[in-house]
Amino acid sequence: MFESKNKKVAIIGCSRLGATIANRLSLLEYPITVLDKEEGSFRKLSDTYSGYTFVADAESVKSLYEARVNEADIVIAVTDNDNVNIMVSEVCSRIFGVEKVLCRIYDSSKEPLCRQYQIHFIDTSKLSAMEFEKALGGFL
Amino acid sequence: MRTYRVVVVGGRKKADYIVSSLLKRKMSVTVINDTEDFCLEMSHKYPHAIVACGDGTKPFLYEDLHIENADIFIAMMPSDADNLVAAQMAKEQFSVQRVFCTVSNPGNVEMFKKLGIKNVISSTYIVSKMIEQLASIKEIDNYLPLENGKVAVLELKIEEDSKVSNKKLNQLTLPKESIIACIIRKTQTIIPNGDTVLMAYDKCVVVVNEKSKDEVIAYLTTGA
Repeated sequence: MFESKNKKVAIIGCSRLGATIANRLSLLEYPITVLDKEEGSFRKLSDTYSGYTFVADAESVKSLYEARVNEADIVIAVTDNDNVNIMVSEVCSRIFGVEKVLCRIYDSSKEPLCRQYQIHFIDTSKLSAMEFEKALGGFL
Repeated sequence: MRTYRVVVVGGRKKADYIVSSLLKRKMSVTVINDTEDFCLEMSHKYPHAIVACGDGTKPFLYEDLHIENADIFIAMMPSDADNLVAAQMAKEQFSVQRVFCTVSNPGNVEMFKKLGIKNVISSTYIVSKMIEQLASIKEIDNYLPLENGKVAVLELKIEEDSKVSNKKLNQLTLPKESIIACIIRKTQTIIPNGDTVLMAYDKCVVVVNEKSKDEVIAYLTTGA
C-alpha cells in the first residue's frame, strides 16, 4: 500500500471515513494517531485498533503540535468539515513539511483552492457520484 | 474619487460596527453572514449595503456578489478554518487587494501569516494582553500591543512627585528604542519636541518595544 510500514500516520477526524482508514491501517501495523475533538467519536474504532487516540481541536495549530502531527510522515485530513481539512492540510504540508498529506473534500467548489496550494485532495462526493454512475451502467 | 469596495464576512456586533463606519465614509459595502435574522436586521438598518445570507466560504457566493477585485475583504467568522479558507479564496481566486482575517485561537496568528494572510487579528490576544498589562502596573492607563507584542503603545501617567516632571524632553534620559509620541494634558493633546516640558499629571503616549518597555515604565513613573 505505502512504501514502508514504519511511516507514522496521523488521521485528523475520527469520522466514518477516518475510523475506517484507521482500522484498516492498524491491521497493517502502521503506527497511527487519530485526532478528534470529541472523545465519543473514537467508538467507531474497532476492538483491534492498536494506535493512539488524541482529543483535540484540529483548528488549533497548538493542538496539532501537542498530538505530534508535525512529526508524522503521512497526514490524512478527514474531518466532516472541508475548511478544517484544507487548513490542516496547508499547515501540515507547507509548515510542518509532512511528506504526504491527503485531504478529503465534500464540496467540489473548493477544488480550485486546493489546486492553488497543491493540496492532494479526494473529492468523495464526486467519487460516490462516479460509483453510482457506474452502477447504473454509465448512463448518468 | 473612486468608491472603495469592501466585503465583510461573518461577525455580528463587530460586522455591524465596521459596516456603519465604512458606509459613513461612502464606501460600497457587501455583507455576507450565515444567520438569517442578522441579515434581515442589517438590510433594514443599512439600505445602502448589499447583504447576502449564506456560507461565507462558498466561491459561488463570491461570484454572484461580484467581489472580484474588491479593495478590502474582512473575514471574521467564528471558525478559524473558515476565515483562512475565505481569506485565501478572496486573495488568490478573486484578486482582492487587501485581505484581513480574525482568529479565535491566538496561537494561529503566526501560522496564518506563514500561509500568506498578512493581516491577522486575534482579539483574544490583544484584549488579554491589555488586561494583563493594565492589571500588573497601576500607572499604565492604556496598552496596545502591535506586531504580536513586539511593539506597544502605552499611556503612562506622570505622578506629582515624579522626578521627570518639570523637565524638558531633551533633558530626559529615556531608554533607547522608545519615543514619547504624544502628551495629553487635561483636554490638550501635544505632539512634543525636545523643548516640550513634561508636567505632573500629564499622560504620555509612549511607543516602546519588548526590550525597552519595562525600563520606560520604570523611568517615567519613578524617574529612576
